[in-house]
Amino acid sequence: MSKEKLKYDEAIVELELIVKEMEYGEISVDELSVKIKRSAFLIDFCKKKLKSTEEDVDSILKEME
Amino acid sequence: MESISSVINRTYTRPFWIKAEMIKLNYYTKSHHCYPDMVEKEGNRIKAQIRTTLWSSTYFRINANFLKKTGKTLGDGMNILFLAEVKFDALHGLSLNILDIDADYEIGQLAKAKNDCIAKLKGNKLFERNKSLHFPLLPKRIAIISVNTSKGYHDFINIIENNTRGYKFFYMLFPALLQGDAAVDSIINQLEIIERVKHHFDIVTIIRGGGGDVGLSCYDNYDLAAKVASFPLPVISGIGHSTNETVVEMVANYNPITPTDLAYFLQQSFDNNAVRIQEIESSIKNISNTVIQVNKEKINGITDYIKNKSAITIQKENNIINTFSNSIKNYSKSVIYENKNLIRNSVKSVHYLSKNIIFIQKQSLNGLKSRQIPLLRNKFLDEFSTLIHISEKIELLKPENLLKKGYSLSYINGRIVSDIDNIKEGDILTTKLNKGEIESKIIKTKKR
Repeated sequence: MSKEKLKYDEAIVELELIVKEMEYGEISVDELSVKIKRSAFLIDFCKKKLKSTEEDVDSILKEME
Repeated sequence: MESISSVINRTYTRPFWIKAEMIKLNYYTKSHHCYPDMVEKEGNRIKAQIRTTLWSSTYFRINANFLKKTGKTLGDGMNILFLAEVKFDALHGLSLNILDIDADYEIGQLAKAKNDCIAKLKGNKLFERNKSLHFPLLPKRIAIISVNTSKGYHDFINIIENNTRGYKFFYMLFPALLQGDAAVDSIINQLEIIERVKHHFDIVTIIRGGGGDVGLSCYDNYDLAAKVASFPLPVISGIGHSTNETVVEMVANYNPITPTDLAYFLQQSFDNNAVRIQEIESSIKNISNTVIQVNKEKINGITDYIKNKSAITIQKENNIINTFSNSIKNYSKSVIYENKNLIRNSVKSVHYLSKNIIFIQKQSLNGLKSRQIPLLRNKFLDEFSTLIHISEKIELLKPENLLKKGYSLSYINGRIVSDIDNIKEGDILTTKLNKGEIESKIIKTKKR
């Protein structure tokens, strides 16, 4: 999943799924490192979403013309 | 004319309550008098029509009461119940002079219209549609339908812009009229514009504030309510009033009522997300630590098991080896002992046999001796007498004895002369006799 296409809601859902899998499933150390890497990326992505924006009024205005 | 006037005045001695639709108010700004056009309809067909008069003083009184009770002012196209007296003027003809308009009737009308609107929305399965839209976890990009001069709009912006936690909202204003009948088309128009760029937004907010409860009936309009209900993005209403909830607010995804509550609601959403992320983060950390701890313990357990098992196995093997080694030692000892005995016995046997053999050989030698010695002695005696004879002969041949008998020995240069060769004239010849030597010079040699 590329960073551009990823949506906040999807990131949170994926994170919660990871937590659920980790909580209820037997998890190997190998899987754990993969999951930790992915969740670190998602957490960073979500945190950034709270405090930054990529939208631009001018480009929206152009689209409305 | 006077006759008509007197007939009318005599017939209509008191005012009447009349139901009609006020097609046009016809308000004159200079005089503040109104001349509303009243019609009675049957379906779409106009059954009756009459010009009415609403004097400025009456208009102000009625309008104020009307606004107070219904939240709206007198306007075109209203169905009203009004009290009027019939007037005939020779110059202006027949007209009705409005004395009062029943606000309660209007309230009933509005309530009925509102109920009809709700029923129609439900019938068209629109009523719950916007509510059923998934509200984004992070309502970050906001299309705002409001007006720049609205206090509500500024309150809203102020809160979301100046949040202390550093949350970043993206918002864009789509200006529209927010009250009165014209608001319906104005808001619908902006919703259509937003729909074209909806992928840039998470939610739409309708924000109005500072307008009191006046002019809100537009939010009970079916077209506007239907547009809001069927809008593809969640619509959040912050229209801000104290009267009953309007239809638009009913069909909206969420209705926090006031613009400030709406702003706090969005901020709260961000807070919830921040907390949620924090919780997820710590959950992942805790679970990871637990998994690592569990695996560590597992490894330690396995290590201990292997250690113990190895020690036991090594001990076992050691015991086996020791047993083997002892067995081999004992066995070797007994084998060596046996072999020693065997050797000892062999040596004994050899010794005994040798003795016997030697004894036997001795015996046979002794036998031989007794038989052979006499023979050998005779033979020896013969040989001995021969030897004596020979020695006597040899004694006679000794040089001293020969010299005694008159023989001599000749030497040249210390060497005995036995041949004539190599003797030269002038050599000194030494002649050895029995009792002395003669030295002579060679004068001549003669070979035979």
